[in-house]
Amino acid sequence: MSMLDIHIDHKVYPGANGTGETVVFRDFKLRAAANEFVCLFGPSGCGKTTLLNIVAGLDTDFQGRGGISDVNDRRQPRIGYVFQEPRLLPWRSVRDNIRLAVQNDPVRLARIDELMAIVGLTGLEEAYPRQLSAGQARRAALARAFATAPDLLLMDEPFVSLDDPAAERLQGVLLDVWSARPATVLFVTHNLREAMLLADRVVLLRGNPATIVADRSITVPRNLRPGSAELRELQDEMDALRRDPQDTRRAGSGDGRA
Amino acid sequence: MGSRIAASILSLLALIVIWAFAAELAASRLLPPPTVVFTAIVSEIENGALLRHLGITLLRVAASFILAMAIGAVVGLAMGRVEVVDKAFDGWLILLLNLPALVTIILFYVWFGLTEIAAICAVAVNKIPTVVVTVREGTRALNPDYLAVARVYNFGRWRTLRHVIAPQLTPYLVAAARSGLSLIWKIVLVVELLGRSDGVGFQLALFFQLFDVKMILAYTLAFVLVIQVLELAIMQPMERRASRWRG
Repeated sequence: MSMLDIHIDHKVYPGANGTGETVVFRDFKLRAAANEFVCLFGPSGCGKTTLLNIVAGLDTDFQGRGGISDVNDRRQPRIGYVFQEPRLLPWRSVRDNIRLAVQNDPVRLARIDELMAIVGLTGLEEAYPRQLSAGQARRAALARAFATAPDLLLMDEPFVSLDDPAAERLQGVLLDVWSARPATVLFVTHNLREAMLLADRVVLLRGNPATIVADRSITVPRNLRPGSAELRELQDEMDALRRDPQDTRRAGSGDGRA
Repeated sequence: MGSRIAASILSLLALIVIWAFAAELAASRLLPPPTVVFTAIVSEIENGALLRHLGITLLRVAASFILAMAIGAVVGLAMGRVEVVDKAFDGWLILLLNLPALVTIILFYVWFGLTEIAAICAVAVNKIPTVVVTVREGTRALNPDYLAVARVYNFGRWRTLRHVIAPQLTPYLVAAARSGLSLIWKIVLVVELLGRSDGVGFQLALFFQLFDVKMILAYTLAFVLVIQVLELAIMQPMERRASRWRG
């Protein structure tokens, strides 16, 4: 079964011109159960994107263990990564961008057009990324991540800069696709309301080095979440934790550098 | 576009008029008028000599060009991507960049004899360093964001090269190819002059010894024309095709 077990002993950003370095993670641990949907939430600069890059294997300049324990013994776990920007290859059509991520698996290749329809890109299969609107490009990046049938889905503020209806629609699409084929999800967001609607668990990070300030499971079924009083309460509580750190000394030395 | 072509034609026609006028004034065998040169081109085409020598020269240009581009692209990519390789060969590169073409040609003829292979390799070696420099620069400018996509989605080496790296290198390869063609066809003439018994360069050497300016101009004009046609018919469409996605 797929499951995430991150333990970063030490990760620093070198300072400019060798002037001091920022410790991003020190003895940082995060686990996620198989097929758990975890939202990472916290101020900019606290290392959320770095964490995703470490888990994805893109950032290897750290001490510790990045994470994905084996899905099963037969194959490498597959990763879908929705980056902060869509990052579509501009010189390949939308369909080719998705096809390239899928490799040569006939089952997943056959699903590409269906996925494009689900995210609302029908008719734009042969378009080049430059011809897409910002929202369409985000949907294409989403389709690419889904198309790999990932064991681990990493999402770095995938719906940022979309208007509310568009973001809500894509949140729905994400939940539909994820329910149909579950995967472990690490979802970075600045939007607490979004986290409340999507996640099984919301993790609040803060400071340099990053510490987990709050880690709450959400048990309310997803269809009951909009307007749920219980979630409203949790959201307020986390909002307060984000804004009003109990430990002012640590927050003062941490957030300033973010 | 149309008006630019018209302007170039007009300016070339003006040059021919000036040439005709100057030839009239000089009234010398050393500056024949355009009509005489064009007649010489026609007669050389008719007796087959021009096309034969032109064809051989173009084959040499093509062979050296392909060799230089292939080796230059591979080495440039390696130097741009792998720091150890870059450090190991940077000194060689500087040396080769500053080596006069004539020296390479002489040394290759001395070491490998007056052979076709030596001629083609000598030309290629003159071009390889500039291809390396251009491709290395392009490789260093590769966008790491797209390389990250390739790694996350397990493109593998070959697909990364084809779908992520090559499209970003295309402008650099096109630049290297264009400057390459114009450098190579000039050096090929020197190689032919020094150590071959056919080709446009050989013919030019022959007519130089005879002080036959009419034939020198005839061969030169024919050759320049063919190279220009290659540029318009092959290089420019290739460049447009490669940049379609920019739309």
